[in-house]
Amino acid sequence: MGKEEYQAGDLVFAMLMLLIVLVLLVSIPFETKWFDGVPLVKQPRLWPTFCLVGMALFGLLYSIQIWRNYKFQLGEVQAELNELSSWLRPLEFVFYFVLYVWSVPLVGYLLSTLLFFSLLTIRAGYRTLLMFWVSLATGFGIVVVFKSLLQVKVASGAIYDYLPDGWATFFMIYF
Amino acid sequence: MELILSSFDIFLRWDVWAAILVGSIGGVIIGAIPGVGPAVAIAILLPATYSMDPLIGITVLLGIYGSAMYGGAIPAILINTPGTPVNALTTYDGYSMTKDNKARRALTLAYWSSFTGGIFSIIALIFMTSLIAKVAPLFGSRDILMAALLGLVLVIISHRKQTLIAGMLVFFGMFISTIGMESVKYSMRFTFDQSWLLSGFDLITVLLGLFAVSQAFTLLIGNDKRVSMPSLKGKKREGFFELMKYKTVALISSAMGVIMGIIPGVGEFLAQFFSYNIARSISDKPERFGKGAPEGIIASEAANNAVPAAAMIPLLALGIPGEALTAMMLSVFYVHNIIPGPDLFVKHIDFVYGLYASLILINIIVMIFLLVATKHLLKIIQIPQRFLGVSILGLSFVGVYTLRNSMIDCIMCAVFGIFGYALKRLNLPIVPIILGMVLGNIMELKFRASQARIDTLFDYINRPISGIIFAIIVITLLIHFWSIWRQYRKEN
Repeated sequence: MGKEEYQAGDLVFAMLMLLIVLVLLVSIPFETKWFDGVPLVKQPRLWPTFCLVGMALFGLLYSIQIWRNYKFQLGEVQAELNELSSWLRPLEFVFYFVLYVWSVPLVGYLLSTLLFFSLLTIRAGYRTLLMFWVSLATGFGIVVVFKSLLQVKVASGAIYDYLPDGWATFFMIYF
Repeated sequence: MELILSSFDIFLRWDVWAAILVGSIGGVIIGAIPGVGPAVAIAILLPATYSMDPLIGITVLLGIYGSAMYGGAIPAILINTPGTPVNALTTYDGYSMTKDNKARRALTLAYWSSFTGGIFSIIALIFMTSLIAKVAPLFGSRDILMAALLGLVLVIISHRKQTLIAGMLVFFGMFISTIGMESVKYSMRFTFDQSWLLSGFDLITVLLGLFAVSQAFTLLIGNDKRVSMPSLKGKKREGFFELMKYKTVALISSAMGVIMGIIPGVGEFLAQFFSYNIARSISDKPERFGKGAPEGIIASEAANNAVPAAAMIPLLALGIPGEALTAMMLSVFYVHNIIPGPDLFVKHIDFVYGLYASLILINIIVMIFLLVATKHLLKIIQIPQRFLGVSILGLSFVGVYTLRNSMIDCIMCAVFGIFGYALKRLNLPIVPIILGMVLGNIMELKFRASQARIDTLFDYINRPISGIIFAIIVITLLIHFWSIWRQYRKEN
């Protein structure tokens, strides 16, 4: 019923999930409402409680199984912690992503996308002129397809207000 | 008949043709790039399809879904790396044939097998439509509740060796769907006084985080692999003649794909696994399997390509998605107020026929494209992995930001991305979360809707359909526990 081979991080993941479930279970009375005179099956509290109980039950069994089947030893704590820290490695890219999102309403979708693609391509280790142009072309292509052609709703950049009227409207609509 | 003919009118529209072309060719390209896959592509494109005509939007997504596995066979055969996870079994015999300088033969065999599976499942789907149309209106709230429950049970137990964690993740997904303002008493649930949690978690935000952003992180943090492409020698028709030699395997595998596709929560993995084993058991030379047996490629490719059309059956008939990709498509239906389920066959039958016709065309176009353009696709496989990560992250922005131009949505998407990244590192399944979210929501709605007719728990299963589905659930669980017990006794 469980994974065949133990992997560093399995236990810490199970424990973290259990901890989250416990916090959520404890907060049921505060985060859901109970209406007097309403039958149990119609209470808004019922369904999230059912989900959390199910999650806790499976989570508990999963944790016990990992503990028993894989003969977890205290010496493996370091490996668990190393794995935990590796889950946080994407935080750097989350930061770039958030910066990108933040910049779109300021400098516009086109410019922020070109900057995001070119700088992240350099960060990813591609430092040739060819890859620089490829990254710009990819970013430009994405903006053209989604914003210019498919007209998806992306906030226009505040920077466009400084352009001459005709150009400002053009950029607001298409880029 | 008139209805069927009128549904073909849609092919006089240029936008339908554009959707079919973009979906089918785009799907092949996406499938051919290891590390992208249809789930990532569909998650990214989903919000863009909201503003399209429902048939156009669904056709693009179906095109990607149906054709990605065709493309996924290319890297599986040529460089021993499946383009999509479900092409994994193709590597066994496909790559062996490539090593024997039979790459072209293996590729064309995979294409024709995929085509057979695809067309077979669409024909099955069309023939089953009349049956579904008759049975579907009989489904009430309790029946759909039981069908959704069956879906969840199957999702959990189909993750063999990971049943417990799959169960926990299903309930986690179900819990996520309860967050926000509930629709009966308008009370808040688990919003922690945060206004941005009032409307709960959007499915797209979670989907993009778990599938696309997590994949971008995986690619960005990983290393590029240098791949050398083998030369393609031989004739294009070799694969077709090879397939003709093993017609029975192709038909059995396609049928297996259809059966597995219809059952919610099962999908391509089990379909190809069973087909592969059946093909080996009926083969004259079972020892060749894994060493370049043509039947191995046929079994794997015909089965996994038969699943997409078949997976549409529970979605269209009952509004119950069987796996993550159909769960994504369900949201497109809802956005356009086309509610899948019994009414679909009464109110929008022309839409349904149009969908079937699009599916057939998608398969034909993909087949022609692959026979002509395989050589050019080889270059796409060589796109550097980390650059793909950059592109996926940039594209994920479009998917999530266009929902409501919200920074919070983007941050939540990134948080789910980290969660998905951890799950991927631990080889834990992501799909149960999505299905838990979608099916959990359906279950709560149907549970509440059925209360007017419920006095005792027995009332949930005293209708013929809900009773039958409940019996299937019980039998499925009994078989599952019996197999675990048998395995336990074998090991001890």
